[in-house]
Amino acid sequence: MARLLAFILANRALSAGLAILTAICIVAVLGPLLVDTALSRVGAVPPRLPPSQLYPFGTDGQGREMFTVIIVALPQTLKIGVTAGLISLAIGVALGLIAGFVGGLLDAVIRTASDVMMTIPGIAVMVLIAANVREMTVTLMAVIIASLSWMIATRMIRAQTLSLRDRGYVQIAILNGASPLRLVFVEVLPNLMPFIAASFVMTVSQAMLATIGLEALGLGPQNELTLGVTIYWAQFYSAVVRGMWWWWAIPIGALALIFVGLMLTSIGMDGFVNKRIGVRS
Amino acid sequence: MTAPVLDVAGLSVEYRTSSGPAFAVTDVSFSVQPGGRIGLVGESGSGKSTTVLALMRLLRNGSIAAGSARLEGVELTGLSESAMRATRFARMSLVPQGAMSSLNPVLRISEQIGDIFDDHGIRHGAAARRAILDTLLNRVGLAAAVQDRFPHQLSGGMKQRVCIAMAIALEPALILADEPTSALDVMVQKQVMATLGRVQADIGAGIVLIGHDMALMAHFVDDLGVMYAGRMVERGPVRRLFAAPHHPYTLLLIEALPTFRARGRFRGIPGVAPSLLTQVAGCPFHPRCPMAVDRCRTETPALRPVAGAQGHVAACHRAEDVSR
Amino acid sequence: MYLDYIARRFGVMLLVIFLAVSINFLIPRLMPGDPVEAQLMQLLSQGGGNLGDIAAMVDSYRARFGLDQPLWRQYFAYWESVLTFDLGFSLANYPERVASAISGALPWTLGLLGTATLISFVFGTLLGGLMGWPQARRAWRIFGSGVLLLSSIPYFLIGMVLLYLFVIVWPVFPAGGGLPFGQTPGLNWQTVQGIAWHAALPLASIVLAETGAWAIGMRGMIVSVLGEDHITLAEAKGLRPGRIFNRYAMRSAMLPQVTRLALAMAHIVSGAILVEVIFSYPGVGFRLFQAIQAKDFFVIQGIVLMLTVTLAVATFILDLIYPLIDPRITLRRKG
Repeated sequence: MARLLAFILANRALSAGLAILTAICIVAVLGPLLVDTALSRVGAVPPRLPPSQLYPFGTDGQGREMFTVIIVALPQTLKIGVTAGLISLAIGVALGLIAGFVGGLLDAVIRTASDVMMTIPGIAVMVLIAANVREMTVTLMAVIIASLSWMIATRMIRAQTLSLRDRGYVQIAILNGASPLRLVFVEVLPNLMPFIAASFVMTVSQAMLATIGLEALGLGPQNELTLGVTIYWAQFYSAVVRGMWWWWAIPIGALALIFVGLMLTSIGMDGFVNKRIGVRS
Repeated sequence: MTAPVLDVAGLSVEYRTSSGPAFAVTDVSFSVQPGGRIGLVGESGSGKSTTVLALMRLLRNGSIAAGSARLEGVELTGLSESAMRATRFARMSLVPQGAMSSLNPVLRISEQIGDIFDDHGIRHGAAARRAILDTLLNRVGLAAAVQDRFPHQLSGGMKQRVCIAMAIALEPALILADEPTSALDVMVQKQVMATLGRVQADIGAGIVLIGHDMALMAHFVDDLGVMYAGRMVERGPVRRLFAAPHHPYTLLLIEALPTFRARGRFRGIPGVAPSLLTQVAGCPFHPRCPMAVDRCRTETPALRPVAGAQGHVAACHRAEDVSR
Repeated sequence: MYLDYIARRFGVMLLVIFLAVSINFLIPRLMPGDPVEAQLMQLLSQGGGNLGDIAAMVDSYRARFGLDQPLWRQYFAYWESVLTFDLGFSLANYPERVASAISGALPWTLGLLGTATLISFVFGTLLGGLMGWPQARRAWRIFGSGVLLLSSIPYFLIGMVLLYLFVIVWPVFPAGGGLPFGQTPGLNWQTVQGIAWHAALPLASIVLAETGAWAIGMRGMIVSVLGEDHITLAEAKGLRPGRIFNRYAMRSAMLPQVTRLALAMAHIVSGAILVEVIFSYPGVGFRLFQAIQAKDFFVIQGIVLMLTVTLAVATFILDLIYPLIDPRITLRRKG
């Protein structure tokens, strides 16, 4: 554990990324407990006011207090991204392990399915589904997005499983008569952890990207405030043209922070992951 | 005696590692006469390849800590980068280990050899260049058509010969051959070494042959230097070394060679080479040496001339006892 | 064998198209209620359309798509209409046909995407190469890191910022649309200028974000190429550093970048859609947005289908080309 910490600290990108993400998570968890969420509803405060001492992030065109909005919307956005990410990851790891370990026809099927799904532009399917759904909720969004983000994790895990399968200690375990379950959980999975972690970060990034995209198009959750939905409303009420920059710029800033954090973490993990694969450097 | 083509004196090379400096090469000296052949033999990690990389000044994460290397009288360690670049392949060339991966996979052979001429300022018209490459390839026993191929279309032996062709393209005075045949099977090895020897004689260059194959050395080189843990432990005319080795390590290397007559168990050398991170007190070989005495643990033996032989030196406190 | 490979990729492409059409067909029908009527009723409730017109349309659709017929019959009918490029009518702009709505918007999107991708790919690859090459100036690495950070942000968010800065704060560029208002396109310099001016910001949004993605990919490739033996030998040969960078490092590192192009396309398209929305750029993405707003169901379906099929075909073409340009790939069996 101490070694892990030392490693993280030594890797600048990784520590910066994790620091940002941790800070965001803290705000997301503690924030709603510390503000009056009623201020984030329509008509709570006088509208269209620029940032001031009273309203540090200003107020939007519909009378919501922006600071509260951000605090409330942040956890929702994270919820969708992380939930979708976790579901995708679970699917991806399961499929990747199966494809890599079992091989043969099952592998071919999974691989083809993943190839095919990757070619379909996610947004296309999501728009289709979202446009047909009568009431979009956070959970439903997460599920829809998850169903289109599992491919990256599958590919990565499959590749790693394939290479690990031929390693000495796995072969020995098989010769010793280890059951497949034991093989997976004791021999293979621990060594896959770095890749699973890296896949998780990438999957969450992609999920968040898809979420924001859908929300900005107006297909997001209707009754809950997320960062993307906030931007949608800003766009809808022509906030950009009307100079109400605080309505859309601040959510963008928050989103940018999240994405930068995710990317730095991903870059940091890249270095670690590659070392394990044994890429010549 | 004529001036040597290469004169290495007291060369030491250190690598920067996250655990501190690694003393890859310590106080190594040898020389090569024009047209002469010297071999550097030793196990993995003994510093042979590092020596060669150091001479070419291609060390990554490492530097020459001490010593000198004079090529045709010019001190290599002090040359500027551009002067060094001009020297590479023009006065001193390299036949790399593993030709498989040393050739650029996306360029044709003609372009890869042509690059050498171009970047050393030698221009030719298209037809003239083609003709020159033809001749060059023929010299190493390859058909002219190889010019237009990509590396992956050639066999291992052919690729190695292309590397040899590149090494002699500018007719340098010295060729450094870093285990040129390690990855090849025995028959091809023989052919490639024959080619190498022939072209070397043709252009009158000196050769430094790196390897771990004592048998190969016996057939090819004039002088042999035995390296262990970055130091040179014995050096001298190759026949002399085989007939009367004066270092236990040399003796063990020779005895490890299988012969037709001796049947029974193979004799390996037990133990592993020491880590290069620490400078060992005493002789670096003493933990594995069957002849070690107390003195070996505390006092590093110096390379001393062996009695009754010209140009034969060994670094062992019990050098005289080795061959008995 | 190359043929085996082509056959496989072709198969995947067909599978994708099949899936796309089927999903397109199934999803609305899986939702409770008559899809057409539901949409139309919603339209009505929003005050759009004329009751008489709509009733006529509903009837013609009912008959056409045989919504009263068994599902599999409808399925085949759908395939038939798709293959004849008859994607139905636009509900919001009746009697405009979906197909013509799309074909009007398509050139704009293609132009924007094509140019943006080309610029990002070229700049990004070069930048990535310079970032990974130890002998290159350090300034490139610093500049590159900045670009990289930008690339983590979705295109359209950058677009919004650009819109604000360069249209509202410093009115340099026009606020939206493809051409200056009221100008009709023609084969003249004025048209070209108009298009360029309006495309500048959308283009910039995509390029700023995409370049970083290409750069980081290329940098990774260059770093791993650096460790390879042929670079060492190139240095040993005394070649000029510039030549080593170009012919030895970049060339062999660049080829995998091209495969990435195939994978990246879906991602680029998704991003571009949103950029069009921000800038009201009259491409397919913007039309899609309008259709979503207006609950113009058939247009949504049509655009989604077209996007998917186009991407599948484009990916296939790239898959075909790649083995031909990389001499390392021998899809022929040896010996």
